Amino acid sequence: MLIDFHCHVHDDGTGAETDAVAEEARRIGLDYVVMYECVTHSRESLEIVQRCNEMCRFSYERDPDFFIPFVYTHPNLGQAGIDELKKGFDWGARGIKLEIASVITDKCVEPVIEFAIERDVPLVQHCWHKITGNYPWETEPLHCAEIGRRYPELKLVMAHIGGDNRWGIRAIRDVPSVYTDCSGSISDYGHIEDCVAQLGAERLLWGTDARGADYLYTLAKVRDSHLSDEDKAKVLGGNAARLLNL
Amino acid sequence: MIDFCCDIGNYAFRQWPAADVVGTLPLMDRAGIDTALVGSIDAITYVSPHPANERLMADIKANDPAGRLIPLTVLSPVYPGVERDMEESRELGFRGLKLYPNYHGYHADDAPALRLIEMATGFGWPVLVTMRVEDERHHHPLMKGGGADLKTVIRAAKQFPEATIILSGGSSAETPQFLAATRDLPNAYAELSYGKRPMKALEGLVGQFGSEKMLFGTHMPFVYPGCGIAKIAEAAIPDDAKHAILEGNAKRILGL
Repeated sequence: MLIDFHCHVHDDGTGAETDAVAEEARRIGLDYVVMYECVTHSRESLEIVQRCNEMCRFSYERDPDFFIPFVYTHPNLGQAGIDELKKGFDWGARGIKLEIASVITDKCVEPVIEFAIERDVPLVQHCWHKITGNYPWETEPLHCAEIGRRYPELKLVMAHIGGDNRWGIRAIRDVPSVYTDCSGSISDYGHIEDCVAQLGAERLLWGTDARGADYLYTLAKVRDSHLSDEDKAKVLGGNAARLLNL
Repeated sequence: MIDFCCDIGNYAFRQWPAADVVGTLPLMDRAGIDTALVGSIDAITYVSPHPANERLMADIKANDPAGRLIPLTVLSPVYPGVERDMEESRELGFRGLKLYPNYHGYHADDAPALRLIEMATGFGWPVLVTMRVEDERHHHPLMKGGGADLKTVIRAAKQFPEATIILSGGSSAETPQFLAATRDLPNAYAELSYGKRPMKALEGLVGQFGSEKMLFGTHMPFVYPGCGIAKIAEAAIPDDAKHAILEGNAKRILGL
């Protein structure tokens, strides 16, 4: 099974982008695409949260057997942000995405984490460690490790292996409850093998970051790695299927 | 397949599976790459790059009897004695020049760089100008720096329309900018190793610029070679375009 665990369709309301992603993903052989919409530099806007989730719902309802939607929120909206999560799960969301509205260790994120635990759904947190300096409120791998230790029952997915995978892998390797996805542009030779060697094949999920990334390029970093076929199958879809109860 | 961006050596800031010719050839075999243009990775961070070129050439002569590796000399145009290094490189058997402006501290259109491009053109060599070798967000704390300045590479290409100038390591934004700005220069090319986005990126580039000015590159051993191959070999573009990018354009440039 081949599942992209990290995709942003960004449909403009015409359906063209949704269809383009579905067509390309199916051409390559994907079974499902996990999709979420979010805005990088926005942290306290109910309007933006609602617009993103409507966009996500639109794409999902256009191709409901292929897309698996996650709902997005700004934790610092308080109860209004939690209400958006509830609405999302009412129309079919299967997980939660957090971007750069708050660092995941911020107090305001706790109700979101508790919501994810209560519903037993995955929470994907954008995460990057940058030597050039992170954005304000941008989560980095050590934050994910801290939350994983504090909430071992949470299905937390640290996105992008934390950007700099050398740093990200080490940050979470001793926190077995934290998963990570290898979405995005980074394709350092050997980092997929290193990730599996240090975290175990069960904790790594393949994702693309499409439409902002190329499907073929991002798939090849797992396909071209020296993992066993069994471990590749886990990374490319088996682990996602387990997390999503497919 | 002819890989226009496959380098050999050690890099001060990370490890990888192959740092010499003996280690690199099996990786090429696994990926299905027949021929690769290679420069010394050590030369990127050496203050005086040429000793690293000499060591790479010795390794190639000892361990690549089939001649699958086409060596490129990596030099800093602003380092003393570089013109003699160029001459020695030609005598040693190098067949192209690879520049790293942001790592060696100059711009591609600075007078010393133009002088080296002129020399290389006189030798009949292609000149690769590298924008970056790794994501700027992940540099070593003591070596933070941005990519090379694309405008200066374009100016250098326009200054020497007869030179074969190849943009290497251009980002997904820089590569189309370069191809657009050098559309009228028949000898200006872009190798595609650093293009990772957006979805169906190559279909977009081929639709905009055709396939005659683009070259396949893996950026091995920095990245998995399969990434650079898959995005071309499995793209939804005509087979003749794939062939041109993977091999045909390179053969034309190299006279193979």
